[in-house]
Amino acid sequence: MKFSAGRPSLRRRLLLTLLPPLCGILLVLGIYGALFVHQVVERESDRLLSGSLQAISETLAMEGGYLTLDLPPSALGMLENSDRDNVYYNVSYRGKLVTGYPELSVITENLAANDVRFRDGTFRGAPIRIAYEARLVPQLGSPVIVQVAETIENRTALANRMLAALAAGEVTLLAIIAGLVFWGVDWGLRPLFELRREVDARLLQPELDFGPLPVSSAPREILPFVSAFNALLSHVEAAVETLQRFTSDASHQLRAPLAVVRTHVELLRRGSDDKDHVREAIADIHAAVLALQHLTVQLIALAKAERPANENDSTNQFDLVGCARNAARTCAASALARNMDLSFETAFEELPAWGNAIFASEMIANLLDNAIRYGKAGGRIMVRIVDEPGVLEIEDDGPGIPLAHRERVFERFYRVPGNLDRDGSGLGLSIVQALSRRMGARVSLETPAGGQGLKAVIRFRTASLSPLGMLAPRPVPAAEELRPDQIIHVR
Amino acid sequence: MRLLIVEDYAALARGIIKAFQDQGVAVDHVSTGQEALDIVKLEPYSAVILDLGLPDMDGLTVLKRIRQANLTVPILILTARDATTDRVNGLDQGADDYLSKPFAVEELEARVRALVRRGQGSPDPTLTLGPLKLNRATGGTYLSDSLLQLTGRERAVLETLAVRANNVVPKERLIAEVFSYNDSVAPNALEVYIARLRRKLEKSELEIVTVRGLGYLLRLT
Repeated sequence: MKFSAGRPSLRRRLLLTLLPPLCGILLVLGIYGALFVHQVVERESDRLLSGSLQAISETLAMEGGYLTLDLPPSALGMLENSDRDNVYYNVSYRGKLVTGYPELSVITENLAANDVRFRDGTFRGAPIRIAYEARLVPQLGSPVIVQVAETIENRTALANRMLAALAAGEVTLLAIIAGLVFWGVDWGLRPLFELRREVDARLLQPELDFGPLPVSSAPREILPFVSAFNALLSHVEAAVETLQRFTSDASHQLRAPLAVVRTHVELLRRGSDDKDHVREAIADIHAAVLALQHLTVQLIALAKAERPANENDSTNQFDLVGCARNAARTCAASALARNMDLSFETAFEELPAWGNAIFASEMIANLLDNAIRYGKAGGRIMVRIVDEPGVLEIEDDGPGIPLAHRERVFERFYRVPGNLDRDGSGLGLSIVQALSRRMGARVSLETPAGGQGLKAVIRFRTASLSPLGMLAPRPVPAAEELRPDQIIHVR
Repeated sequence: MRLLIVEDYAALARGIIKAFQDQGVAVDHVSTGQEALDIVKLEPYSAVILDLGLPDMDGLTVLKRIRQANLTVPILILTARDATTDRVNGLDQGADDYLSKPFAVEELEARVRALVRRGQGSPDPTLTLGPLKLNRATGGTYLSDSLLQLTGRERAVLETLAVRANNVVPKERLIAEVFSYNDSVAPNALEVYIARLRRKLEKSELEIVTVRGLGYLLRLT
């Protein structure tokens, strides 16, 4: 397994968290172990040394006024070992050497009898361990002091061997734990690899599979991750579905008028003497081309409207009254064509609102277009800026939209069942909604007070609190003083 | 040959109707699924052209209901959607052919003719009866290898009779195959076409026999 530089690695993290405390623990254990080893080796070696000392001391006796002593082979044999430690002894009485090596300094202090003691010393430059005791021998007034010493190579070697074993054990333990971390991370992450394999397998499929990843086999620790990923998957799926539906709907909407054009053109090319048919066919082609044009324009408008909101969209100001008046004027001709009575009323002379004048005009124009298209021929359309800042109403007396469909008509290409109109793009309300979102306005479809028709209401954010002051709404003078341009009345 | 067109887009329907009428095909047009379901059982349609995007119900539902009613009339689906799944769904639910918009008028005509032929159990476009050769794909009619000048309606009557040669074709059946609901049919219209056909077949060994009270029969003398 390679660690690429800079990329966080779980193994490294685990090793970094585990190894330093582990090393600390092993160090403490090592120190304690070393002390313990020393103690044990010291104690055991001393025990042997004292055994040898006592064996020699046991043989002390007075024979014929002489102090005698035996050196039983067993006494010194106890101390024999492969390291060939040298063993030395001496016996002294009242501070004077009786026998043995003079290099071992004679003890002059008063010692309690039969009490084995130890000390360290040197013998001809080499460190030695000395055991000594005082023995009372019959007929002698003072105790005889016996000393036995040995060089310490053996005990040092023994201690070193044990320490080496301890160190080797610790190193092995450390290696095993590091290995376990490596392997354990692999093992612990195996469910992740399986998830990855599942995802990889999906990438190879021709159709995107947005089904949730299996949660049952996910370990508890990565379950939140898998769940979040699954939630993301379903979001993406919904987005892709929306996009596919939109593409398919748009293609459907474009293909139908194209089919009209193609069919009629192909028939016309066959040649026809029937003047009525030719006229009818050209009218159909014209209508289809207009529908195509309208749809293309609306598709582009929708694409623009659905762009992410720009900061200026909601921080610019525009005059809602002027904007609505212009939009109404633009639509007046098509209203007239359907013999509709279009009127414009406003409670303010000027009404500053937050947003973009072009967007607002487009929203109003689309709502007006709907009112003209789906309203009653010869009916009435009112564009009203009511006495509540920022609220614009467009009311018609047509068939309206049943409550059940009022939410859905904002969906792209949604058509109220039974609507046979083919010239509408099916995008107008989607555009209105997208634009209102960009400007922070709200759109709703309501039933007019009369109960007949449809009332589209846009609530713009008004800019009356502007520090500029000059943009505060100016109410329109009383009705009798209305100037002609404050009410457009088209008949 | 009589066609039912189920298409809610009037401008397109007008084009399709015109294309088939020019060939002497009787065409009925409805723009909703319910109307289609009501009418399809009533007349002996040779084929149905069904749009999938209908205002009142999904075209596939119409298709399913027609098949559930045990009607075997050939159905060509016409739709602006071209997703493969839509095609597969349509064909799986009993459609016989599929054409996506926009289409070439000639292709639509050819596919419908092929469907009709298959529906009548004779995929060979040429219908031969003695000296009479009727190419149902091109509409060309030949008598002893010379082109027979026929109007669309005359051809339709002759074809209907020729398909069931030596069998009595009831008058009502002929009328139903040759005229659509919108044709203003004079009471003796069929007799007029029969008379014209008899005149044109005069010098051949083909004969249209009137079986009084039953209908007409085309045979070789």
